Amino acid sequence: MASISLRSLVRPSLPVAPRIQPIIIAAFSTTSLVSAAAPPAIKNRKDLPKKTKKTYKKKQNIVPVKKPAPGERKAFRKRIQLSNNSALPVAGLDALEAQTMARPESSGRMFAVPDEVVDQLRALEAFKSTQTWNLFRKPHVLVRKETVELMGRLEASLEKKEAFKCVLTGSRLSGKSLMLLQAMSYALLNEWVVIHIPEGQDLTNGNTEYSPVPDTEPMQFTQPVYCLKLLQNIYKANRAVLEKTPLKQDWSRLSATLKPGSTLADLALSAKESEFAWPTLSALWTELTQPGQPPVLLTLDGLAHINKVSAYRDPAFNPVHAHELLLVRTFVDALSGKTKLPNGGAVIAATSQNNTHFHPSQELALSQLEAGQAGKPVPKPDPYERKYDDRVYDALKNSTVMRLEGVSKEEARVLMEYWGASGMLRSVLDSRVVAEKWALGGHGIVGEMERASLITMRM
Amino acid sequence: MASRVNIWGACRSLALRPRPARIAAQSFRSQISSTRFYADDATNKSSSPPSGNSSASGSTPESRPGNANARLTNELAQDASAGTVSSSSQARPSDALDDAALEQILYGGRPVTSQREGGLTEAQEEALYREGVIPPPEEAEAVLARSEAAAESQSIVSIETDVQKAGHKFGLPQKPYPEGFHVKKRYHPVLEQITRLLMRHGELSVAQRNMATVMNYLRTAPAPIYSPKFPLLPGTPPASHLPLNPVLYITIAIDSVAPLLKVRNIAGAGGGGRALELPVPLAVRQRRRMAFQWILDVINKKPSKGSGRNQFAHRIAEEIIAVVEGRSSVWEKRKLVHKLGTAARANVGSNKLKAKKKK
Repeated sequence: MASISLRSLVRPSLPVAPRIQPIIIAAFSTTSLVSAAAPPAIKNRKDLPKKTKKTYKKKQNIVPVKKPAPGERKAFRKRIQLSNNSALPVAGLDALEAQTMARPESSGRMFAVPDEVVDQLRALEAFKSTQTWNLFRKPHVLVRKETVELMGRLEASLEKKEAFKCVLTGSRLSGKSLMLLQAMSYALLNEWVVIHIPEGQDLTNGNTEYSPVPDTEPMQFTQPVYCLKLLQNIYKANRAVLEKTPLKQDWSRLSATLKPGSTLADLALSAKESEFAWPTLSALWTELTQPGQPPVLLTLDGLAHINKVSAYRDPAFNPVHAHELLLVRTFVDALSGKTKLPNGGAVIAATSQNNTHFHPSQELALSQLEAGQAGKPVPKPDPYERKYDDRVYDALKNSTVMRLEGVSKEEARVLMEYWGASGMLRSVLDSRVVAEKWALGGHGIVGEMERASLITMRM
Repeated sequence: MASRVNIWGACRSLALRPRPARIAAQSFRSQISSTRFYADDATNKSSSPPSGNSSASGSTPESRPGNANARLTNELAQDASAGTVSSSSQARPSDALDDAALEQILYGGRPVTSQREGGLTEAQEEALYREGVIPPPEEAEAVLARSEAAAESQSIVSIETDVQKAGHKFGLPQKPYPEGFHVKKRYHPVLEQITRLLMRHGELSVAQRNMATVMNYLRTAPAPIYSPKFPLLPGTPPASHLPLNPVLYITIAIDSVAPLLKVRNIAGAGGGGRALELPVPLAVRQRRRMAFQWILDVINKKPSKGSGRNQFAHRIAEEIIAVVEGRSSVWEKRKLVHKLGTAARANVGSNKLKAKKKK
């Protein structure tokens, strides 16, 4: 009312009903409107038309270059090449068999990874583009002292019917991811079911979709697209084992195709769309944790990323702790021993030193565990540190820490002989050269030795 | 076809003598280590030459497919003598050489690849890195033996002088120095030169990393397919030997496209204010520098195919492969320079040049 009275004060004329006003569509004329806009009005000297200098240079004809499609460059950069036909085939090396890596006598020897295992590992994304697989004819691995130890623990877990929970740590380029790869190939050769999360960062850096689980407090989230991809990878890598393992429970609520006689492979294949991925994955995990199923190896690379507060936000815009993501929680529960693996098996997490952040409570927990294993005094938490996270401590407290550092000189020699036999090392291989590269590689850090002898101008 | 014939014809009276390598006062690699060579493989085969037949093989150049330089000078001399003899029978001296013969002379009278099954011997590789040509194995062995003998005699002298010059707490290191002894001569001489050429903004370690990436790319790429149209350096080993020896691969590529000469323009000496175009032979390092600059020019114009910091190195490696396979446009540049040099060959001993010098 006040606005009307105000308006009437400002505009004394009476408002006219809009209906009565004539609606002008167009003036009646047969000539079209002048299409050219009127020249801008000249107000001062600047508006006068400028004289442009005429150039007699020939215009360079720019050839249009076909640019690669989006994502193609990155795919090229990240591609994984596992063979080099120029490299010489190395004769006289055995292929890995089911129990090879667990035997103490195979310590300090090179073994070829069998072709079918290579395909499975590729499906699991166990190979990384930063590793130097592309220089050699076929993937070979060096069985180190630590490898034998780890595989022995995996073997023992079958006897005890209890999960072996382990965190691999160690300095940069010391072979933690490769140890994961060896554990995976051991598991694949022994017909375990292998689930591998290739990069912990992918789960928490907010680059994959997430959706809340209703009626959870605090709110939990699933990552449907990632879970679907993971399911497909699990199926591709473990197809033979999954196809001969029948289901123990009735999962017909997930998919109509799941009859009582179906196998785990049918379950894994039943998720065709991402919204059913998480229920299917959790069903698969429930099945695998039933007694009488094949043993499971669950691995993850880049531990620090799943122990932090993730980049995701809940509906109230509070940051979400990574352990509230259900896939991460599944892994963490298995690592902490909350989920039992009644058929034996292992949960192995590897820290990464290239792509990581300093995580005080993880560092503390790992150092405490390590000191406890060695029988040394256990380090105390820093009283001035505020960022300790109890959930991380709870997740890690039941695991074994295995530290990887450099290889011994004998192992370095075996490795370098393999490089030489592949034709990648042209210099004479004597103990002096081995000792030199061993020392240049930070006392046998394998990645640094590769840098010093393979990725160098001096060969 | 006609143009090709013209080029060969034009080459006839061009006396091209790439500078002979001076073995005694070589500065390329100051000493040849007696312990091990670049090309020594794991077997550590002894590289001591056969002592007796070096002089015998040197005296019969026709019996073996020879060094390009030696043959060129040799046959040109023969050509000159033939011309004087047969001038009465109205045959022009240049006609004594047909195109096939000329091609043989210029490419050393060898097929594109060597007929031998294996690759190069250590001595041959050493000669290639030092002189830019691949001599037959016997000659390379002989040269190596001579230089080793020279080095040994030098080292004996140095030891004697060491004894006389007391006062060093730990004594002087013995010559020849072992591999990797000198911190500034740590890398292969060819790589050293090329690395510094591809360096940008003075970042040497980045250039060295790029060079390592180039070599790893060459090692992982399939063996090149030689093109018969663009013959490589005479005596090039079969293609299957190159990928595992990336230094040889790069050297073969660069030395094959390297120009033999450049054309100097001497201002005002041409008469009438024109410049006199004078073909000048190039030394090995100069030739390599020019060839690699050409390759770099091509690379800088190419778009990269991927992303990441290895792209520059990948483009270089691809271009090196393209050179060896005869797909590169660098070959055109070489042809152009040689054509210009052939056209200006008459100016080599020009009177105008002397007049210019007097002034």
